[in-house]
Amino acid sequence: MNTAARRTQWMEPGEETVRLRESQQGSAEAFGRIVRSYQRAVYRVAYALTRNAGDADDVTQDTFLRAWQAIGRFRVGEPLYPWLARIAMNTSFSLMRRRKRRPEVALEPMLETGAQWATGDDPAADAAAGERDERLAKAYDALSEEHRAVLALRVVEDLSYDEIARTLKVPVGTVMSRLSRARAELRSRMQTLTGENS
Amino acid sequence: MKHPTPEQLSAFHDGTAGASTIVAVEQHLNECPECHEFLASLERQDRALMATLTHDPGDAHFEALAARIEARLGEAPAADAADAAPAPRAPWLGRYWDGLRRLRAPEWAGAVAAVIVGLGLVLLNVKHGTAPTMRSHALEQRARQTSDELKSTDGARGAAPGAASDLGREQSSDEARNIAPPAVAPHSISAPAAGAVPPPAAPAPSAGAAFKQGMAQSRAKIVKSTPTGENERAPAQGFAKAPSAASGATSPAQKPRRAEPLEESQPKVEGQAAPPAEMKDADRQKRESDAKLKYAAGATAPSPTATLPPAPEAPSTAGSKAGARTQAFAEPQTTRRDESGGPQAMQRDAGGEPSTIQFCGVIKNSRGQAIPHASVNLVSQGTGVSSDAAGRFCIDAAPGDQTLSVMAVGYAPLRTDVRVAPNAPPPTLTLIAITVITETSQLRGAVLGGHAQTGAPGQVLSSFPESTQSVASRAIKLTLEAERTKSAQRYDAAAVEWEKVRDRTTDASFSMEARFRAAETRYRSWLLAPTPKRVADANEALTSYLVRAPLGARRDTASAWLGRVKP
Repeated sequence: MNTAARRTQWMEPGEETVRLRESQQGSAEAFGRIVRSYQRAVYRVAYALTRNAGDADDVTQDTFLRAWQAIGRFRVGEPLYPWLARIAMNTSFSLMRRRKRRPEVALEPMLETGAQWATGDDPAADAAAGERDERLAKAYDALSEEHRAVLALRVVEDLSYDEIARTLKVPVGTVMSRLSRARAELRSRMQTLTGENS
Repeated sequence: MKHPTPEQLSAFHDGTAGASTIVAVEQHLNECPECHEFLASLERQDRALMATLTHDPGDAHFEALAARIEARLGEAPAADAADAAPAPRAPWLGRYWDGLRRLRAPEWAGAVAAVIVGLGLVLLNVKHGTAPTMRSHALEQRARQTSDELKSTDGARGAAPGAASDLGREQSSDEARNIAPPAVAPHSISAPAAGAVPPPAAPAPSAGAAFKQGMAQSRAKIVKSTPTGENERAPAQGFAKAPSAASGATSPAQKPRRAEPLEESQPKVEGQAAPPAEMKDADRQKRESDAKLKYAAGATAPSPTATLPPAPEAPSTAGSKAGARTQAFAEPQTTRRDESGGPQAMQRDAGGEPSTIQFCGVIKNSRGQAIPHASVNLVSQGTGVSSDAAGRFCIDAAPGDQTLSVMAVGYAPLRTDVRVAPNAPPPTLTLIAITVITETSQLRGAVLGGHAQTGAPGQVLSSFPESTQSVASRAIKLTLEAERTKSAQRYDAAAVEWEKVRDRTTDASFSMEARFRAAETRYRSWLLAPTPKRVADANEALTSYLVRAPLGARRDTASAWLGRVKP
């Protein structure tokens, strides 16, 4: 899904402001509208960081529950999504740290398409692609939390540097350098695992 | 040839490089295959990563997910939405507010210092601090329970020390922290309704005594609602403005108020006739205040009737019904209660009859031991409470026939019909006949070796599936050890075991129990030794429990804990 398609799911700024104010007055219905507008985006962040559909579901629910409980402290006028993404990110990392494990192997994409289980036109190429994906996932999982976060927000969510900076609460310059280092680190780990560039 | 930095190429790839960088990089790429390839590899890497990190479960899944989230929203109102939501400001106020927001740290420090100095000056001129009011109905109810425990002389608490009683104490102290000043307390308890002047001979209460006195008053006071609900909107002055006898000042809370409802709202002291209608307000106030101070200070164990909320019947019948109002927990019975302004304040219909009555009882097991933390639910109303350390509970119930459901994990659930009536004799509820399921369980020794008396987790997990009993046993032992030693590290270790139990069990109820225990141990660990990690862990565990927890006292408790653990 491209950036434009993703962002059409976001709430219009004017409506967002109205819904936020209503939510701050205690309207669960208004917050429900916010949930429906941003749940996919929050889920994407959660899945990128946990790479497990069940965990992503849990994190998405937890994220909105936390946001609902803290909605009174949100300053209307600020963009909402970076705030939600930050909660989702912290919740995901907290879950991972608590379990002291890396994300489980994601089966959902395979089960969803069935392509990985079926024989394609070129079985050898399919197998190689599967192995490459697996190595990439392994290399990504080995990155630090801040590197995984910045890659997820940029590559998966396609947030601008400014939006990433708001989400991570760091300067834009830091986003730029951190993203560059994260890419270099991922590339380096892939080279270590495969002996070639991704 | 000078190559662009990886950072510049990364920004160029993302389309966020500055104009001059874009021009320079584009020129360079035409001459440098190495950098061109590097840029292409960034593109490939991003594409591959995108494919690895994304998963779309489909519209139906998100529809269901949104429904689940919305259901949770309805169950858990925004904790601080109403409080924290900015009130509409006047234009001139908006300017000042914007100015305040622009203040920098030193300016803020100066402003805060000025406020502190101002407050200090005010406090120097006030000999007696204002006693706090309860912020919520649940808080007030808990305080009342604590007050009852203080009063209790049946030795139940002495026989059951440990986790449950610790919980009670901790909650009391924690809740005390949440006490809000009366001006902002949305659900504060109604003020003393009568008494134009404070009793001149009343001892000046300390802050703590005033608080206890206030709690006693909150139990003893009752303000009859008028059809217009006037008294339900009584100013939230409460005992925050309790009599300040030493200063001799007449507090605002003691301003003469409407006499009509007050005549019927005075608490009746056992052994005394109901005060005549023409009794002077001041005399009545004095006697009432003395009784409450005596009770609050614990100098003597007052007869239960002296501190009971009197029913708002007509004075002519109030005396004869005093016995029915006695709130002793030796056996289940009903009492009437009113709390104006509270979120669950008693509602009355047009005829003046109450729509809810407080229904109290005690939960025991087949050995006659109290069962704390049992879940007591009124099936028809869908409301529930949890029993306290002595197995006692009180729940607001509509008059009439009700079905009561009592559950404590490890015990067979009990479902019984009860009759809730304001003046009916205490019903002989058989809530004690709850039996332990796993008498032959491997954990029997641990369960019955004292844990059942304390409400420790060993009691409630005795019926965990065989597959999880070994890890559950470890979790129980660690939890009990942590409670005994007050060790945050042991609580952490216990939490890890509970999380294993949670992950290994497939049964929803056991999983929920383990989830709650994990959250509880994480919270207690944080309470003993707060660290950022424990904040995160407690938040995670509590949220994980709350998003799945059914309505009830446990959920409320966990929600309150979550509110205290600030990330």
